[in-house]
Amino acid sequence: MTVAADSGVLEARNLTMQFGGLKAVSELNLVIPSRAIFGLIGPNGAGKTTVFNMLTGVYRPTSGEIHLHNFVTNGLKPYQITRRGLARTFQNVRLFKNLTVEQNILVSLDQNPAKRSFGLIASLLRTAAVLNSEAEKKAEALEILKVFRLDDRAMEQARNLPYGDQRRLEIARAIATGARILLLDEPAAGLNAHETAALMETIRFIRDKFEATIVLIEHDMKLVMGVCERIAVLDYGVKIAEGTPQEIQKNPRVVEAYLGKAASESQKGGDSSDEH
Amino acid sequence: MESVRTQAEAANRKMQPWMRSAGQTLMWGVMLAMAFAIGPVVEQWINPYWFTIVILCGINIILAVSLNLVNGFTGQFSIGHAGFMAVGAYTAALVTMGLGDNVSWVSFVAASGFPPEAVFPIGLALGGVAAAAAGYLVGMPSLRLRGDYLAIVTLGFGEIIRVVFMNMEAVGGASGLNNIPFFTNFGWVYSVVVLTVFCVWRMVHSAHGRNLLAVREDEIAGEAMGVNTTQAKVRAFAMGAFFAGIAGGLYAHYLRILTPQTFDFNKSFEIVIMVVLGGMGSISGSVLAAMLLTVMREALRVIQTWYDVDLRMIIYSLVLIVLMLTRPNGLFGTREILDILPSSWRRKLAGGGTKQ
Repeated sequence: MTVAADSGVLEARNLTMQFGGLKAVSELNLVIPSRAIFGLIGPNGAGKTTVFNMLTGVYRPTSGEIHLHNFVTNGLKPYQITRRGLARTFQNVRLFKNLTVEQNILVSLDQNPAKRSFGLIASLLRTAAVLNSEAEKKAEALEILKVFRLDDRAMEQARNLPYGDQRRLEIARAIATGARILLLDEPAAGLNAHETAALMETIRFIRDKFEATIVLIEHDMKLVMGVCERIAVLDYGVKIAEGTPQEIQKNPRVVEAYLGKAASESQKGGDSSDEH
Repeated sequence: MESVRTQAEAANRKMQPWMRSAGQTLMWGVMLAMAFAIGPVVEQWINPYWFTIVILCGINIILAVSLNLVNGFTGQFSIGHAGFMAVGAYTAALVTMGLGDNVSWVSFVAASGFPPEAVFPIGLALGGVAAAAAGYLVGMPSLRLRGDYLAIVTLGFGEIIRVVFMNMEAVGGASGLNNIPFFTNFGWVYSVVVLTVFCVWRMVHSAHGRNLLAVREDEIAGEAMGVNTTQAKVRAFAMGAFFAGIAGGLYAHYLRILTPQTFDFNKSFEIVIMVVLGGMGSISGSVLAAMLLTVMREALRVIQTWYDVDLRMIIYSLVLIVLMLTRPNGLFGTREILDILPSSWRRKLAGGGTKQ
């Protein structure tokens, strides 16, 4: 297979998801280039989360293909997709609440394909290699926590962290899997303006620090417009626009989807009057 | 990779990793050997009545700790543990009886100079393997189920096992299996107790164990972080069943008679109660609760002799209710008895690990 010039690390080709008579996502094409910060927006019920669920293997697409690092991932289970380099966070934070912050990271490091894993017998006998690997993982977990400024809370139960820290820990946990494509599902949900601003910094920082590719679903337009380099807009399961934040803000179809037809026409009117 | 390794080595400068590894495992080995060493002393020292309680304590510890792996650490509420115990008990009994009574086996064992007891560990191991296979079979289809639904399936499985044995003439049907050789002694029971605690403790404090904890905490998040949740659950089920099977084998060779009624759902609930009372996710909690409940049931017999009414089960139930009201997370919660030790000691014992 020849690699197309514009091929991305993550691609959706004619991706369709049908629930009974409802086409939640229809013929979606997305190309997400390496190290991009890509936004997926749309009104409620537009199919954004369905797209995420297909990309992460929770749903199996009705038709179409998902290419992850030029490998078709259709039909793989979520954990297999994560091990192939795509991890996610959740809209309503899903940490391992009763485990420590460190253990949350260790669970991900255990799955990291770059790390050596041991069989049951070796683990029960706790061989020297196992002990070494555990010590290495703990050191690495602390490194990752330092990056996310969570190292001083390593031994606390995840449930006791403030909400903003929990969101950061969730991203740290996704990074620890070794995945470098991160899908963030409404990362700013429940954060105040101050925390959202900090989150924007974090998103840019992890892209640069870990050379990660970031795809996010978000309703907070300030975050989307401020941090995303490219945005795709879904409405009723169909991609109605894609482009830079500036292009998206001006696109009449997007305005129509969000605010209704009248609003988009009045904006058109405004635009045309400007031309006079 | 190389630099990370030297870093880790620098951290463990005081002792070579292989020495720490061997030392810690040796410690468990010594405990296992001690069970055999003090066995004859214990058997001479205490009277037969209390000896039976001591043996039952050990068997219940094995059952409770192994069930805790499934219920407490993996969060899969299984109430069919007696079923796995039954599979192990019948398998082990058939192995030792078949091999012991069979002429060729007797002559073989005699000719090779082994005592007849030599078939016992083989029987126990095969009983464990058969139970683990049963655990695997139950684990696979019931993985899609959660909470109450899984509980019902495991309960149903336990009953199916019992009814199957009840209707199998080859194992004596409802009247049971008699004349099982008497092999179980203090040494065997408590060496298996040590082995069970060792395996479950190490399992839980390993990368494999973290997968189980991830499944318990949030299966969907675990799967999204790359945890093979199906594999984790099947492993927990199979390993829990393995030790339940061995416990069944020990039980069979102590009582010398097996009836299917022994393994009804009351037995399953008894084990669940031990796990819940001790604390779901606490190995030491399971150990203590198993001992406490086993002793309490017998101690309450005394009350029965004072009055003519059987108050035993009423008091037993009341104690459980009061304990659950005052300590809803069980006696230990998710803590271990080692947590009361200073943290420096704990680190050494847990192998340089942190509080789990």
